[in-house]
Amino acid sequence: MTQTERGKPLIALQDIVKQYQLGKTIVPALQGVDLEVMRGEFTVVMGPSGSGKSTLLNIIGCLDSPTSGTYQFAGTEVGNQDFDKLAELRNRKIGIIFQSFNLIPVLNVIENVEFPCLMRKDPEPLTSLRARVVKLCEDVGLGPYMKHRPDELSGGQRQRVAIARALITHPELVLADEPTANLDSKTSDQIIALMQQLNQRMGVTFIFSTHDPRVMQHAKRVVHIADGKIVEHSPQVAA
Amino acid sequence: MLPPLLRIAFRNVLRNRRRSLITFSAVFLALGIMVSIRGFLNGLQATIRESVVLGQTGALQVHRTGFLKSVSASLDLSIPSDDAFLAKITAIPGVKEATARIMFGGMPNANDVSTAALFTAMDPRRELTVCPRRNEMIYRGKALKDSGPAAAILSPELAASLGIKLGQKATLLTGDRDGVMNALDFEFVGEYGQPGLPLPDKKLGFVPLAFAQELLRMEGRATEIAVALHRFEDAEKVKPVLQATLGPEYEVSTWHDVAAYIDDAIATQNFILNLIAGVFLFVALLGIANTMLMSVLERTREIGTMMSVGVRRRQILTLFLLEASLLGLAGGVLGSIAGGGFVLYYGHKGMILPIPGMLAPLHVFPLVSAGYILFILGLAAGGAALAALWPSVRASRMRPVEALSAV
Repeated sequence: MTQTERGKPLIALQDIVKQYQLGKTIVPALQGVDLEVMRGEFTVVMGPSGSGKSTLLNIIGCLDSPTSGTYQFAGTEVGNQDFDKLAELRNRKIGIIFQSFNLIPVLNVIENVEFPCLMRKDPEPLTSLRARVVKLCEDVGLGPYMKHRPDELSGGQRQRVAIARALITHPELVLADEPTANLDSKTSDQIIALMQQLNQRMGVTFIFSTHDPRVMQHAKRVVHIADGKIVEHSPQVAA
Repeated sequence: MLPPLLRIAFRNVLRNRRRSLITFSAVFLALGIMVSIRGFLNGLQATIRESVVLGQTGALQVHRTGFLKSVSASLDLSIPSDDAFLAKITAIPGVKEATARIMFGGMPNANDVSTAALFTAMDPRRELTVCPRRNEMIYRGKALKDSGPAAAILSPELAASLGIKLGQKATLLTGDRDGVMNALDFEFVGEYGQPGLPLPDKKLGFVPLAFAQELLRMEGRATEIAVALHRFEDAEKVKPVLQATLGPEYEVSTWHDVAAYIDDAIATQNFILNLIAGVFLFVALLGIANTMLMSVLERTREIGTMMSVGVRRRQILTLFLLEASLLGLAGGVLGSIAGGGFVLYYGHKGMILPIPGMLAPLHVFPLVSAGYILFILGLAAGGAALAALWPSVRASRMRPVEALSAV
């Protein structure tokens, strides 16, 4: 990261509108969202169910495209890119963590974590990749479970696999869509602490969506969203 | 280590074992049956070919040019039948033996009954060196080689219309090449044909060559030379050499040329086999298409997950096509092994097929080529991929956000 890059936002959304068509009804999910996220930030998007958090994260993660508005990722407009270019962007620069873990059931922990790297056109040599995967799995507390398949792991362990999978590609941004919603409070705290630790140690930008007010206390920056609009930017608070 | 997509495809096939097993079984059965039927038909067709070549036609035949095209078997278009002429033919590499024949029409007469019939005259001993199975069709009485010089083997229809029994005498009346009538007595020594099996020409007779040459005043002449090769499969190779040796005055034909009906029958059999095989394979491939469609529907979320970590559309497509091909190939390989085992076992042991009304049962030795097995394996794997194309394209065309939100 250069000095110039450091001063510019990693994410810049301008007047993002997203509408869904349900039969003859048009449902507005986002209604003119402006948002900038700087590199290295740990941002929480807060809001009740149906407020548009997931839609916002899907657009930021290039899983969905806005109906209108512009989206720049690291200074590049992504709205007009084709599927494979966006796939490349997701593969190299964005890591995504889901509420329901979304692991590939036929792959074990190591294989799930290394999977994104193996899908590249120019995958790195397996020996060095494996070494990185093992190190990362140990870092996130999966050391004893590396040969386990997802159905042999607890919810917290599965989410750790998802975190490791999101981080193995050295992404610039990690999106976590309600990553603690399916976890008990103790495991939730551990997962949030782990993500904060990775944010601080690796400098990865995190955007985190939740409707759990308890999570807020860990955030440096909180963006409140309601009815598809950003209603409040909370100032950074000490974690 | 397997490439990642192949590894995932392999594990996905094993994931829903029961469903994969049903699909696998359909392909297994289809290919097992295809290989078995092909092997059986190859054996049957070889038996038919052999019985025609070794029992009737010989591998090659020599006629005077124009003989085969003439409407009636004209005695004017005769050829030499002497040892020197036959030696010229047998000197050609690949040729084993040659024998002369005369085909002519005559009016056998007995008990004041005359009837028109077709006769084939042959050298009783040499004929068996070219067509060793010639006498297999004599189901009663003696062969010409075991009879006197004025003997005849007749079809049952001819014998019945003349009202004669084995050992009785009759007279054969015919015109020679100049149209002058001549007649000789003969003894009815053997009955030709299989009871219950209709002959294409019902009034047929066989007489010794010397008898016919005397009757037709054709000493040293014949209308046809039948040629045996060391390998009858070499007929097409030896034909041009023999033709060049004999010159344009003569016309050399292979058994294919003179017994085209055999090729027609084989082609019909093959068509029916291909149709049946096609239906079997089609049904099996429908099973694969169904399996893959269900798989895509069940794994929509997983497809979304893959897309979210940056898997490209083509890779998703490849994954599902690989899964279908693996199913097709696994069922195909084991089906081919089972079918191949059947063919190998009976190819070695032989199958004895009693045909109702026939004296001797058919001996069939099933045989199948590695090329055919490879071809249908390719067809099964490729067909499976083709059958899975639509579900796979459907999977790869999903929008990530929609795939991820699937229940």
